[in-house]
Amino acid sequence: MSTLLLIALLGVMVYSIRLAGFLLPHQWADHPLVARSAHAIPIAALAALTIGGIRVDTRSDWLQLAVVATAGLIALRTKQVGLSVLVGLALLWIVSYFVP
Amino acid sequence: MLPMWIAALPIASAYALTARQVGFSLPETQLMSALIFSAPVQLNLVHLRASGATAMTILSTSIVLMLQTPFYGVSLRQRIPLSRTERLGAAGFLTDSAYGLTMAQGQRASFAYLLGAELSMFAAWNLFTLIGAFLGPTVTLLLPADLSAAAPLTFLAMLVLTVGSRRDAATAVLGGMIMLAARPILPGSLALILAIAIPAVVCAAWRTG
Repeated sequence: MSTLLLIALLGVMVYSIRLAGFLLPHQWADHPLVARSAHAIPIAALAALTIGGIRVDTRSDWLQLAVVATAGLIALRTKQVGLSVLVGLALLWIVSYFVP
Repeated sequence: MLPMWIAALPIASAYALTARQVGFSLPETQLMSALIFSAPVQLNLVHLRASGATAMTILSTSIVLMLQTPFYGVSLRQRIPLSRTERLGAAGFLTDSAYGLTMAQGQRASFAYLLGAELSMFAAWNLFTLIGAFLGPTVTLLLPADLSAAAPLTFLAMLVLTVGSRRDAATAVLGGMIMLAARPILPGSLALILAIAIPAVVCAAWRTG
């Protein structure tokens, strides 16, 4: 299969998968169980995406996890996403400099 | 949006660099970012194509990599009233980042915000792909440090601002723990699906009880 055709096919496939949740039939999407579950999806997704983006394989990685937790505390206290990310990145760079 | 753009820079550059190194042309590299617009799927395509995998293998593994996005669609339509046309448009550029940013807006979430977040990520992703494809390895030398942590840090800050009750906190802890436990033994996308689906079901049961 040519590369261009493969890219086009993947484009269609990715769009279809993205669309699937939006086009779920009303009787399923509005089902009470689905509606109740949907409340938890963003919170669970944000937690999973946070953990998924952090490596926790070595000792220094666990140190990085502690730094990320600190950034979370800053977000909690200040309600400032930008400040939390900035401090978190700075701390991670410092940690990675001293603990390779 | 800024932290998400920062996080996209090293990933898009690395993708473009890898794609060019394994033999994709510049237009092909850019076309993938324009038509597919998914980092895991694009990287999967590049790596599998380089290793000589069949088209069927590439397509089937790509499906697995995208399976969390239907959850996002279901969740978004519960939060934001969307017309059929808006659903068709929103699905075109839906990513983890745009979803997370929109849901973190709480009751202020709207189709305009969702589409704005999606299009800004789309523009940034394609721009950084172009930069990576043109500059090659030089781009990694130009970056001041590893910026990839910007994405999880942003997700965490949004999570902290979204959690509003004990049930929310329990859901977040459960999702994080499942991700932590499942990631070493399952592909990232499957671990992500479990980490979303199980807390969602548990939360539904809790609300029923």
